[in-house]
Amino acid sequence: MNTALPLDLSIGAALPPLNTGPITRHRVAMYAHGSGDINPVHVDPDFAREKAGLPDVIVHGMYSMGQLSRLLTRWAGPDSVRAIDTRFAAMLPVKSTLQCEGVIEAVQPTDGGQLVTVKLSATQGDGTAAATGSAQIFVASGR
Amino acid sequence: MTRDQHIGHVWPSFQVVIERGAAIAFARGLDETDPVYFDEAAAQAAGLRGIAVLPTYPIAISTDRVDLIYDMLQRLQVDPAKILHANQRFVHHRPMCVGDRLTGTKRIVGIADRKSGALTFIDTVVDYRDEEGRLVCEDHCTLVARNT
Repeated sequence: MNTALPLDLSIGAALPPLNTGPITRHRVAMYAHGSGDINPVHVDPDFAREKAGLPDVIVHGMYSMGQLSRLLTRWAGPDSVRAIDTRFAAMLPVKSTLQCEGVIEAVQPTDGGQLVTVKLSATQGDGTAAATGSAQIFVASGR
Repeated sequence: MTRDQHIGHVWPSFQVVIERGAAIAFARGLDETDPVYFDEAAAQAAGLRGIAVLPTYPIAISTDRVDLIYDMLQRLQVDPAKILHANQRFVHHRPMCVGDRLTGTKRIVGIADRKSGALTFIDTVVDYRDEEGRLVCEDHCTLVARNT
């Protein structure tokens, strides 16, 4: 949500983090439903074990990217994301918890406001990076 | 076998409407609770053109057009079971919202072998344009095929 408070746009400032809590099978199913990605490796534990050689189903990589995008929209508003780029670093087992964080790397003036470059990371509870990336966020003058 | 000949391949453009139900299901799938993603009045009160759409929503459009992915893998003679999603980037020239009518055009922009041919990186872009032909969003996807 947009807030009335001005955003801290100093280089190195951290965005308010987003923690997903445990990503249960139900939440993976909800994302499969919402995104249309019903690949069995995400929803069928038998398939994951017997066909994919994994201990269990895995969370969609795009779920991690989606949560990174929400880190940004919660901070600067639903229409603020000009670009978001994510590299998928590791498979994310079901029931993992993701900590999504952003740090301001650069700020440059643009038409009507500032273009803010944010470095992104989505990290599992054990410290393993699930996804890393960067984003360009438009912050209107006066925010 | 050379795969380079497929760089530049463009599929026929397709029409897409950002549907309310689909956008809401996507927002719920990402645990979203902000009413601007669900409710027209809340979106308008926030100064938006219509119900907001999360920045990664275009992936749901790509998934809906999985036929294009399978067609590409067939052209490149890549086994779909050997594909991983390595990188994803969206560029939003203006925010999408529910009700937008867009034209999507997908093309192959890069094919590169790495690790002595053990991996092939396949880069595609989908451009989404509005009814006036203005660029709204770019979906840049990198898939990796394991060749072993």
